[in-house]
Amino acid sequence: MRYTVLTGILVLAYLLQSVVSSYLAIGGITPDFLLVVVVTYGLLFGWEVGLSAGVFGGLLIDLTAGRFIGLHVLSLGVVGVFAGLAEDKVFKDNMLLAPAGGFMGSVASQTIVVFCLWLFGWRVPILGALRTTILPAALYDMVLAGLLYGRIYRYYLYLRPDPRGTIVIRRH
Amino acid sequence: MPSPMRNNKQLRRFGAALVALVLLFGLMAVTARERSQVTPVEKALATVLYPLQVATDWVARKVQGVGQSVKELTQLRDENARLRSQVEAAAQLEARNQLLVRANQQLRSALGMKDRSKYPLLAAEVISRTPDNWYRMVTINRGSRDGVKANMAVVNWQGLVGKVSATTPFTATVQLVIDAGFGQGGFGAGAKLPSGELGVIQTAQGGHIQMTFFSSDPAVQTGQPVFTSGQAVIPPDLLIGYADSLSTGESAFDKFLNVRPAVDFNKLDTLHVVLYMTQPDGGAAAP
Repeated sequence: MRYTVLTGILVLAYLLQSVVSSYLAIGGITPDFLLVVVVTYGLLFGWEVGLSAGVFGGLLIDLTAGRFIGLHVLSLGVVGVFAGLAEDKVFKDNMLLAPAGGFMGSVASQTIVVFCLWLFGWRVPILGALRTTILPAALYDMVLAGLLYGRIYRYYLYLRPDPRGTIVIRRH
Repeated sequence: MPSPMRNNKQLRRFGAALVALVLLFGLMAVTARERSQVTPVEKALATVLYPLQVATDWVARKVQGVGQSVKELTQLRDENARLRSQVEAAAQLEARNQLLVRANQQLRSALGMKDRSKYPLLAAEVISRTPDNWYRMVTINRGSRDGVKANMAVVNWQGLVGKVSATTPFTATVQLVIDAGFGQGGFGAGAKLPSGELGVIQTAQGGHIQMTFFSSDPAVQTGQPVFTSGQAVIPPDLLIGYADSLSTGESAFDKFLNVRPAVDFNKLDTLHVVLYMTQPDGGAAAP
């Protein structure tokens, strides 16, 4: 039960990402539900949970796409770790935290993806990608993070990390 | 001063991260090229996720219908506040009607295309899209059990949508023509113009389709249709798009044509798998 809720939210984010996000596309740019959830987990629960969520979510994307397996494990894993490292340095109830985290996480994640694609010989015009994909998607993710963070934060009240560094369901 | 134990822990973490990075890049390198076979893990995951994706897609379509109703309702409110109550009911009916008309048109077009096509076709529904802004792929609800094989062309009533990149028993992944990796590894589409000019279709990141010509001085007119030539795995005479503008590359002899896709890739619902391949190495060709 310990991680069931968090895993459930992550799988739901994946399903929303793979099925629903295309209905929400603006100019061909889709919101990244998984990234927002990974950043949120990192900010709320620390780098271990951020990393685990990033690796699991990234693996789902990579296995669905069937190529460059490991690409999203790397990009989301790194974002999860960095969001998690900020966990004890931020005020979790600050309203600006989620949008800022969503924007920076999105830019970082997509930059890693572009770099790896370029490394493996894809013709990715970097500046064009920044203008047409990375920044618009980051803005979209920023808004989405602002909307979703509060909902996941509610679960944080029930899933506070205990002093041993693990997450437990709070019992009343 | 940091204790040796703390140093050891940090060193172990650093080592683990380094090993993970090497493994990930190795895995990426192995899977960077196109594969016709998927691993059992991918197959199992696709099979497990299939019912969940179908269910989510069903909910999404319902929600979209409701969203459309609300949108139309708002527009009608602005136009005529006095008739708001009547308009609310009319808008909902209208929304439902539009969905039905659209479905009807698509099915009629699909039926018409099936009659016109010289290839055997298999109808399929899109159940999910690749959850990423960098790849352009969709998953359809037909798989190897239905006779779908890797590299088979996929079309809709508008034209060429893409090709099958991988199959599982119940689903298949379709790489869209606008995916940047479409023309890589020699698996792309040979292309031709009605004038007989031949070339190859390539796609850059961002979904820009370009046709590179074999001749150095091609005769091109804006708006001309661009068809597949049958030189690669995709069968001939499938409409790819329309000639947009002719550009010159680094060399003056290096001419390429920007092609406007015939297919609206934002509205992919019903697709057809062409159960025929020009090259037998990708699988057995249908009659």
